[in-house]
Amino acid sequence: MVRSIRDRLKSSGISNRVRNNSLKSFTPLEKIMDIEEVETPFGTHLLKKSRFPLSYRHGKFPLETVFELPQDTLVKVIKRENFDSFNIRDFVFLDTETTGLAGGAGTVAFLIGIGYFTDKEFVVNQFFMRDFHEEPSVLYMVKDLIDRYKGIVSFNGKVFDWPLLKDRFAMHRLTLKKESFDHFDLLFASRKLWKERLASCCLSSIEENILQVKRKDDIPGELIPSVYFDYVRGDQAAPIKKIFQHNLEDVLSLVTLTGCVGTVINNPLTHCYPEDIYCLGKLFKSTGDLDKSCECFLEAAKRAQNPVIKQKSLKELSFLLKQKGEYDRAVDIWRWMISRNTMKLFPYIEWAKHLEHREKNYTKAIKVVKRAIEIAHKRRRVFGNIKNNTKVLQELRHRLERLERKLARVREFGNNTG
Amino acid sequence: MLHTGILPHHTKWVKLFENLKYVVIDEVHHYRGVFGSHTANVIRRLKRICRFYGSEPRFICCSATIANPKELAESLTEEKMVLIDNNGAPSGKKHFIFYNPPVVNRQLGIRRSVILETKDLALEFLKKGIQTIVFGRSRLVVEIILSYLKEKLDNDIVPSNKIAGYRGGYLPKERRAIEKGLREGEILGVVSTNALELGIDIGKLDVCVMAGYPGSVSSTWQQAGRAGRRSGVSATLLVASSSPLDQYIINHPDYFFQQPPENGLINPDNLFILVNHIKCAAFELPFEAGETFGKENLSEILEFLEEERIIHHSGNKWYWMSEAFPAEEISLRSASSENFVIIDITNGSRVIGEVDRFSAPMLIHEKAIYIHGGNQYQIEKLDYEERKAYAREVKVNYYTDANLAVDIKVIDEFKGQRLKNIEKHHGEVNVTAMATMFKKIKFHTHENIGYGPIKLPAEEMHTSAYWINLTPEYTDLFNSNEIESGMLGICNVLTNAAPIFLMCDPQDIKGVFQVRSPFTKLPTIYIYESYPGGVGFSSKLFEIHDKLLTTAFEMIESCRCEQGCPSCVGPVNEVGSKAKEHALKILEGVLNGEEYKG
Repeated sequence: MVRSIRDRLKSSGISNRVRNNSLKSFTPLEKIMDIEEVETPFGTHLLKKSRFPLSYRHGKFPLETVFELPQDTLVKVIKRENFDSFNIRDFVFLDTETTGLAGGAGTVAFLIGIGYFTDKEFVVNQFFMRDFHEEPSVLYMVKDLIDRYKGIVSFNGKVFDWPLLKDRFAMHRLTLKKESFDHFDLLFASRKLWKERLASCCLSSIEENILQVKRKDDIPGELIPSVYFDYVRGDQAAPIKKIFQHNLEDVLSLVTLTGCVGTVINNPLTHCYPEDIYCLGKLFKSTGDLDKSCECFLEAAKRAQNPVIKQKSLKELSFLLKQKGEYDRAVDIWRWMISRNTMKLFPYIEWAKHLEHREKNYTKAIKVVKRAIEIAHKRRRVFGNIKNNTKVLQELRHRLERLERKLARVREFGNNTG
Repeated sequence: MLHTGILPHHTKWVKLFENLKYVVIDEVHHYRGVFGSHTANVIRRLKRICRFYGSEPRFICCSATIANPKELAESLTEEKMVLIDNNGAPSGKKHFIFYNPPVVNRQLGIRRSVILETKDLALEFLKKGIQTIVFGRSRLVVEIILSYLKEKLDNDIVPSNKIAGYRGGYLPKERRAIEKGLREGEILGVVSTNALELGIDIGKLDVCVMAGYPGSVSSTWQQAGRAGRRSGVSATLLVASSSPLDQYIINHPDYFFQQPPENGLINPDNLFILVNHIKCAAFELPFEAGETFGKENLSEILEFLEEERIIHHSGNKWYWMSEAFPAEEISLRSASSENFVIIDITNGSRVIGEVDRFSAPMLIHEKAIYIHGGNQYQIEKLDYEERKAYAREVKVNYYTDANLAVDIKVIDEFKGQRLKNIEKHHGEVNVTAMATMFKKIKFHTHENIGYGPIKLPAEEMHTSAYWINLTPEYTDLFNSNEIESGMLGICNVLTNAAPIFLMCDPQDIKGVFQVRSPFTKLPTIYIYESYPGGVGFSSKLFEIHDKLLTTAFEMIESCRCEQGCPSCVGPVNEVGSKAKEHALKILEGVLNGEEYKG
C-alpha cells in the first residue's frame, strides 16, 4: 500500500491545521468602494485616487504648512543629505502595506500609497493587488509615477518600505530611471526632535502627541497581513476598506509631519516644551548653528521643571560657551551648579580645569578637585559601581597630584625669590 | 549563509546570480545523512534562483575517500559528474597503530576502559611536548578525558591550560580561540568530538589518538588525517572499546585497510526535509505550473501547503502567503532548531552551552552532571517549556548516564519479503522515547553508585525503520528463553554492525527488540533511524540484509569471550548468560539451515 503524500505529511507532524475550504463567494471590493480597475501592459489591478484641497486639515495642521518651510530647513534635519534646490513638490509621500515584516523575497507590498502635490491639490494614489499575480501590474504603475519625481518622504522608509520596493522591482526586472533618490525619512527627524519628551517615536505616538490626529476605528498594523490573506483566500472584502483608510491616513500624516518639522525648526523658542527646545539645541549644534544652539539650551534650562533636562541643558550650554571662549559665562554656570550641591561631576572638573590652566589658582583648584573626589565616592555609594566611575576617580587623583606638585613648585620658587 | 541569508534575499545579490559560473563544494563526503539531504535541497534552491537570473553554474566537488564520491556528488547536485581520483599530495611517514586494551575480566569479557587507556597514551605524548589530538565518540567522553588529562598534567611539566576541549555546545568564540591556539602551537593537546574531524583549519598535528572506533572507515581516515605533516613522522592510535563494532575492526585490520570505504547516503526526497525546503523555495520565488522540485509530486505538496494556508495559488503560480520567514525555522544539521541553553547560575547567570531537543532528556535532566570545559555542573532546574536548564558548578566524583525507554509502532510497511526462516521489512514507524532514570557512575572505577528518576515528557517521532522477524514455524523450534536472550543479543550486534555499511554515526540508528511485536505478532528486531522521516539508512539495510546478518554472525562467532560480552551480544548481566549460544543457534538456522514450513 502506498499512502498519499498528504497522509504521509499529516502523520509526520508537519500539518497542524484543520482543512478549511472557504469558497470564493464574496462581494468584490470594487462594488463596496469607490475604486477603479486599471489596465497596464502587465495586467490589471485596482487604483484608488483621493484628492485633498491644500487647506485640508489633518489633525492640527493644514496640508499646506508643508510649503512654509524654507528650503534649507529640511537639509538641516538630515545633515548629510545634500538636497540642492530643494522643493517639496519634487517629492512623493510613500507608505506601503505588506504581507509581513520579515523582509526577503517572500514579503510583498500589496497596497502602495503614494501622495504628491499638483498646483491646487494633494493627490493620493493607492495601488492595490487583488491577488499576487497582479503585482507586476501594480509595480509597473508605481515605477512610472516615481520615475517622475526626485525624492521620497517616508516614515521608516529608508530601512523598510523603500528597500522592499526595490527588491520587488528587482524581482520583476523593472529598473528605475534614477540610481538613487533623495530620501527624507521622518522617523529619524522625529527622533531628533522629540525623543526627550516622547517615550516612543512611532507614527501613532507622533500623531497623538504632536500632530493631534485622532484616528477613528483604525485597524492595528499587526492585523493587516492576516486580513489581506483572508481576503485573497475569498473572505469578505469589507475589512480591506479599513486598510485603505489606514494607509491613506499614514500618507496624510507624512505631509503634515513634514510641515510640522519645518515649523518647529523655524520657530525654536516659541515651543512650549523645554524637552523639545533642548533637542533643537542639539540639532543646531550638530548643524553648526552655535548661536541658535546656545539660545535653545539657555531657554530650555530656564524653563525646565524636570531637573534632568535642566542639568543636561546647562551642561551643553556651558561647553558651548567654553568652546566660543565665553569663559566667564561658562564659569558662572559651573559655580551656580556647585552652589546647588549638584551630584554631577562635570561642573567640578571643568571649573578645576579652568582654575588650573587659565587662572593658575592651584590652591583653589585643589579644593575643587578634593570636593569632586568626595562627590565621586558618594556617587559610588548611591549608584553602585557605574561605568567609568573608577576611571574618573583615577583621573581626579592624577589631577590632584599634578596640582599639588605645581603648587609645591610655585611655593619653592616663591621661597627662593622671597 | 546561503540557506538563511543569500537565497531568501536573492534580490540583493542580482549581480552574483547573473554572473555565477562555478560553485565549489569542498569536503563533499561530509554532506551525507540528514545534513547532506538538507544541503541537496539548498542546492536545488540555489539552481532555481540561478535559472531565474539566467545563469547555469558548473559544480566542482572535492571529497575525502569514500566508496561512492561520484554518486554522492551527483545526488547532491543533481548534475552529471566526472570523477578525478588520483592523489598527488606529498606526505611524510605515518604509523597507524591498532591498540586493544587488555582483558581484565575474561568471564565477563570486559577490557580495560578505553577512556583510561586513551588518557595514558595521550599523556605519554603530551609530556614530551608532542602536539596531540584526542578524539572521543561523545561529548561526555570528551569531557571525561579532558578532566583526567588536566588533573594529571596539573602536577606536571605541561601547564593544564595548554590542553583544551572542543565539541558542539561550546560557544563560537571559545571555539575560534582554540582553533587559533592549535594553529599557532599555543595549545599542545586538544580533546574533541568529531566536530574537529574536518573543515576547520587547525593545521597539522603530530599524533592522533582515537578513543574508540569513530564509526566509519572514512571518519577514521579523516580523524587520522589531523595528524601528519608533509615531512616528518606522525602516528595515529586507534584504541578499541569493548563494543562489538570496535572489536570487529580491531580484529580485522585487513577489513579496515582493504575494504572499500563506506557509501555516502543521502535522501533529498525525505518528505520532512523536502517539504521544508519547498516552503523556502516558494518564499524565494513563486512556483510555476509544471515546475519540479525533487522527485516527489510537487503539485500534490503545493496543494497540501495551500490547505495549510502557507502558500496561495493565483494565476498559474503558487505564492508564499505567510508572515513567517521559513528558512529561519529549519536547521540544516539537526532535526529541530529548538535548542536548550544551559545557564550557569553559580555567579550571576551566563550561558555556557546548548543541547539539541532530542538529546536534552538524556543530558540535562534535573540532577544530571553536565560537564563543560572540564568543569562539572549540576542541573538544578530544567525549564522544558522555555528550553532552559539552570546549572551550578559542583565538584563530585561521578558523572550521570540516563536510560531511555523506547516503544515502537509500525505505521506503514513499504516493502516486505519472506526469506528462509525470517522475514525482512522496510517501512514507516512511530517511535516514542522517554528518559526514565539516570545512574551515577564513579570516575576512574566506573562503578554504579546511585540512581534517580527522570520526569520528562516522552519525545515522539515518525521515522523509517528496517525490521526482521522469525517465521512462526521457525520460532516454534525455540523456547521463550532462547528467543528472548538470543534475539536481544542479535539486536545488539546488528545495531553495531549496521554503521559499518552505512557510513553513519552509530547514534544515527537505534535498535529495539520486541518479544512479540504487536504488528508482526512474532519476535521482532527493529532498527530505526534517529532523524524524523529517515534519510535512507533503513531501505539500504533492507537491501543488504543478507550481508548484514552474515557479518553479525561472524562478529559473534569470532569473539573470544566465553558466554557473550559487550564486544558481541552485550554484557551478560543485561542479555543473560546464554545469549551468545542462543544468538548463534538462531542465526545459524537462518543462514545455513533448512527451511521450516508449517
